[in-house]
Amino acid sequence: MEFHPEPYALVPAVLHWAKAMGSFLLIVLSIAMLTSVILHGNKGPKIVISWINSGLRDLLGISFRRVWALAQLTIREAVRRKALMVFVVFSILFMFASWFLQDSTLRPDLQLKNYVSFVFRTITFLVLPVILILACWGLPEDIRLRSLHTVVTKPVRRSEVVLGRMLGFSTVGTIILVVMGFVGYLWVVRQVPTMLQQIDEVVENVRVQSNKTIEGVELKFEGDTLPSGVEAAYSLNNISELRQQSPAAYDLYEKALDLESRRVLACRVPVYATLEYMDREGRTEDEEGKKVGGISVGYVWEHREYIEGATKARGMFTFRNVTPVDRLLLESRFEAFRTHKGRMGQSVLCQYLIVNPETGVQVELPAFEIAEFTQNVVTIDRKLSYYDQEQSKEIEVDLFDNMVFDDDKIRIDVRCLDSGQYLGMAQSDFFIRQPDNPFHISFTKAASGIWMMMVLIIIISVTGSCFVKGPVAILLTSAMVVIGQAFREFMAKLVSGEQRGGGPIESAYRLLTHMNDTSDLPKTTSVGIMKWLDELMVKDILWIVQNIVPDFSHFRMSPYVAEGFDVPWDSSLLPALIVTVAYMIPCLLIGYYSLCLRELESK
Amino acid sequence: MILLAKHTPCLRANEGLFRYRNQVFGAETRDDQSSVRDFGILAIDDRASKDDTSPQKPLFPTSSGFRSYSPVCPNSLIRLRQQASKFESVHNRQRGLERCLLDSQREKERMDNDSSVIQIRNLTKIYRDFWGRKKVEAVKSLSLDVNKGEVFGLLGPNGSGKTTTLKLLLGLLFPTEGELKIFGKPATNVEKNERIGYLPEESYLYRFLNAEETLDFYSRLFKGSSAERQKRIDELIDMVGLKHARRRQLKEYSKGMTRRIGLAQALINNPDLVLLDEPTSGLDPLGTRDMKDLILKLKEEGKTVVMCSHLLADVQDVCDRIAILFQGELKVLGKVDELLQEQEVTQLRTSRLSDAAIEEVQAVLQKHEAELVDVDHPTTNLEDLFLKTVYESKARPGQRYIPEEQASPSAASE
Ligand SMILES: Nc1ncnc2c1ncn2[C@@H]1O[C@H](COP(=O)(O)OP(=O)(O)OP(=O)(O)O)[C@@H](O)[C@H]1O
Ligand SMILES: [Mg+2]
Repeated sequence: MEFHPEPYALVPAVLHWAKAMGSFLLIVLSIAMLTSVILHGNKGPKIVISWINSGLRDLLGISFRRVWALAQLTIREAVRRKALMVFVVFSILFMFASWFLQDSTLRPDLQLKNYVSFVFRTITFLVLPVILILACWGLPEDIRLRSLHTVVTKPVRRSEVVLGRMLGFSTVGTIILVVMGFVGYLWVVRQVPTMLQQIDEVVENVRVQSNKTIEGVELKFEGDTLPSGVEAAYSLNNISELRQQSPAAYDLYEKALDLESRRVLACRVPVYATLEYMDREGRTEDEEGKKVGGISVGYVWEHREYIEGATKARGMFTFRNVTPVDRLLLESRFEAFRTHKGRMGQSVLCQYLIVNPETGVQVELPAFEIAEFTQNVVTIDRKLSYYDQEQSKEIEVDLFDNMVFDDDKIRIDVRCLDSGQYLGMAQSDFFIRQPDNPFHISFTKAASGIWMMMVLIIIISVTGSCFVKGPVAILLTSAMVVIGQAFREFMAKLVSGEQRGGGPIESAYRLLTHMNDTSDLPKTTSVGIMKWLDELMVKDILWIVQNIVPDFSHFRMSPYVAEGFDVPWDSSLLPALIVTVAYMIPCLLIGYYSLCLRELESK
Repeated sequence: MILLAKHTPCLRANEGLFRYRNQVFGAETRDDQSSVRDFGILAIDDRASKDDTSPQKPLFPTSSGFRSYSPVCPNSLIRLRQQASKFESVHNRQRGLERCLLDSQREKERMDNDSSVIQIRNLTKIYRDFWGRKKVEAVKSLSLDVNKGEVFGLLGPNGSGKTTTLKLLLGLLFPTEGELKIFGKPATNVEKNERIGYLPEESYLYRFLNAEETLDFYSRLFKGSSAERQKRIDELIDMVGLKHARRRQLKEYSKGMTRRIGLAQALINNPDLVLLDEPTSGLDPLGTRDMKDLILKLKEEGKTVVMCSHLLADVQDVCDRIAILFQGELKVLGKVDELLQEQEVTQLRTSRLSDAAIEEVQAVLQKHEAELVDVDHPTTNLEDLFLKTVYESKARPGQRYIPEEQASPSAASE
């Protein structure tokens, strides 16, 4: 899975929302005006304005007491209608899940990945449909049975009815989600001990050995049990000393670190860099002044770009906002692409270089063999040394005092040392690993992703159910979810004109005339008209659809957890939150006016 | 052109107001002057009504008993004309017009004083299907007022538009035409609901709640502290006699029990205006009795009650005024005692008399010397009136039913 390390662009997103919302409001307003003028003549605009007025007054007069009363009603309804039966299905699934999921041939971390994905998938697929159906069914049923009659003849604003429903279903969903999440968490954690045993053994070994064999090196372990290898690494005072004094202990330490990095219930907190490339001649820009990229090795779905080994080609990772720490933990996950078999039993060699472009100082770190399909973990001490050619001696530098440039940037270059081999990398492949968070934090965050998605679905469902009947609302919402999950990219491509074969009319034409999508159409007027119509349909109508349908992909946070990462706030949680809130406001308006403008009489 | 009938005794002093343009003209009866009675036909020229600049002067001699009044209500002329055209025969048209005149007079009075809680003007409701095609015209240009502190009965056969009218009042349906005011506010206004209680036709309550939860839910939609609420809930549960079943879910309730909890729900906010749609349906005799007592008690407290009912005896017992609808049209409107009075007959009620005495009394009566205990018009019961109205309406669709006893002999002579 590819992570997008870029922080979410909040301001443009909000502006885009304001734009979309504004145009939407304008369209609705003009349609309302038009119909009102047609229906009521001169008085039309006045009527619309009075509606807006009363709408605003109603929205301002919302009382939380009433909203909560209605929400409570919704909760009671859901509970008494046996919505909580989902728990039964849930527990049955979990009782037998490990039968099907257990696969001892898998590496522990991959196995755990399965478990985590299973938990989140189960929760998602159980909670969301149930909540969707409940939320779509609630209001129409209320209208059909006319029980809403006794409610709206009390001083209840229609906006409160909508809000109460939303709040009620959200509460029900939250309860279900919390229980399921908790059970799921316990289940995952309980699967782990066996896998972790071996890791713990090694870590324990390090502890015992390092305590015994190294003297003069202060080894600090907190408590009797070692919580994790990484913490051990951070509590060891001086790694390079350890290395000099006891290579054996250092080996074990490294092994522990490696295992630790794979330690499955991890919640790694990465700091990503920006990635630029240097080509085989050592240039960063080509003749036209464009930045050079890596080499494509021809994997179609691959997001990585490759650098050639034993040349001047490098991947240059620039980290921003670095703050001094005693040692940096670097983690990478590069791919090797081999043009020959290479050295027997060895992987591709790779080297990090810390570069300060301002002073030209370049510290080469020891080369290492990359571990494929898993992480390479390298720690760098704050005290570094490099061999200066001119002065022919080792020079000591401080990572943060000497190597930081532009106030807060550190550049670490990656190069491949084996000639004829290629090293593939992407921005998310290399990062500084900050102290880990406990696993339950990333688990909770990912669960909150599901939660936000659920809330959004509830918002859309309740809004839909304000103007259509239950089954239609269910269809409508499901369609939104499916389009928002699966077809967004496709639509984006269509809108941007990247999709081959043109829009609907052109495609139909090509289908009928057996013309393939790579051959060009003749430049005649009719083709022009066809293309123009297509353009109109695709650009405008799809643009609208694209802007109406929420991007549900923001809510998928479980891959982070499955891969052992923390769920980042600014590139994952924030956009999800923004999307949810952004839909809340227009939906509330739509729901409110649909309830106001319709007769609450079942027909 | 509109014809106004020859003046009849039915138009009592100041009652025959007629509004034309900005002026109101009235017929005045002075019993001592027979010349006024002879006053003939009032004609209104259509052309004049369209021409705005024409001098606003009466189209008939004011000297002969008509007097002009201060300006009001510009719309009523058109409405008057619409309504008048529905009356077929000259005879009926005359009587109809008189009735219309009376109505518009009352309308004016009611607009003038603030005592009316509900004002319905020219209300029409057409049910349409999804495609906007007309299905039923459930209410046809209905105008009526309900005054503060009265018990108003809305009668009519099944499907005559009673429930529709109530729903229109509550803003559950939107009028196709016409205006509605409750407490001087439009029906869609939410704040007025603070003072309204509504008992729907069937108890549309949440069946998964129990009695206590139901009342708690509804009470929380109103302001008030939780202690007050709890007190009110206990009171109401006690009042409707559901103490024994307060913790059972409504889906287990019998029809009468649901009615009772529905009533409690309607009274949860101690409303000033109570709209009851067939309050006694499904109730046992005891419950019916209690319901009547309750309505009278509400009236005593100065509350206004509007109820629909098919139980005419009950309506007769509790209602001050009634309206009878037939196929969405208002057929009869008035005070119950007035409507049920038979004008043509005089009833004498005396202390016990022997047969011989009766003859004597008759003689004595002529001399006005008997000991009269009571002189009255006998009353029919509401059932008779209702049936008569319905049969009459069926026989002559599109006409407003005017009870025979109110028609004057002189009008019939036309
Ligand atoms: N939702 C609706 N859609 C279409 N027509 C309706 C609807 N509700 C009522 N009607 C029609 O409107 C007319 C008046 O109905 P309404 O319910 O007001 O009668 P009612 O006087 O209350 O009768 P009842 O004594 O049976 O309660 C009827 O012809 C009915 O069929
Ligand atoms: Mg009814």
